[in-house]
Amino acid sequence: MNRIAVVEDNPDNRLLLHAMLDGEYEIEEYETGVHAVAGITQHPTDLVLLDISLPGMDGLEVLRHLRETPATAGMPVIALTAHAMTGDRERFLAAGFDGYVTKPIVSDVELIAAIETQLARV
Amino acid sequence: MNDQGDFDSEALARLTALGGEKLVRGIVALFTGFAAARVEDAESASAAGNCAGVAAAAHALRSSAGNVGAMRLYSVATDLELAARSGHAELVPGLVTRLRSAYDGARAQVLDFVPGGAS
Repeated sequence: MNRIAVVEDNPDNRLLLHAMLDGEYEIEEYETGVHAVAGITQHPTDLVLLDISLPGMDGLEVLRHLRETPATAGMPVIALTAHAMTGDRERFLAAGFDGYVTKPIVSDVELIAAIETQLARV
Repeated sequence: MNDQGDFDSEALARLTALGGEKLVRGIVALFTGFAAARVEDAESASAAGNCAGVAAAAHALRSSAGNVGAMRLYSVATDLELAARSGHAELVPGLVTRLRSAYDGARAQVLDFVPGGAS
């Protein structure tokens, strides 16, 4: 079973993501960017679902740390964001994210399809 | 527009299909706790003239609102986040008042959906 890191500060989003992914994947949850970088670089997962708007170290900075660390440099990272503003998708993909999922996440089928697309790529 | 009118009950129905009553009660409990605290954060930050604090609280509320189908709250939180981030401080107090109204309306709607209220 593939292991997925969920980095999300909102507890309701963590609960929802856990309900959507539990049983399909092993899930490692992180509430802050600092804890995510420390945990994921020491114990790399197969994929990361990474919230952009984390307090303190935000998702873009977490991504930069992961890309600079050899053990996690090639790891698929999907952005989770409630931004959904014009140009966001292009901006996040240009920053180095492999995919982009807009919150609120309404379909577990679509989320899992996005994850599987990235897992099949590596 | 009536702040209680824009509620997508399909969102809670989707949660029920996904994780049953336990998931719905958990999400609703967070909506009445975590999200309520973010509304208070927005009010406090607005009173202090702290646009960054207002934007952070509004941003957190957007996905919480979307998860339970509180579309009016989602819309107001989006407008508030944009106003706070873009430096339109003069718009913030009025939008925070609308945010409170939208949240209170959504809370009542959400609790009506859950027999006996949240866990």
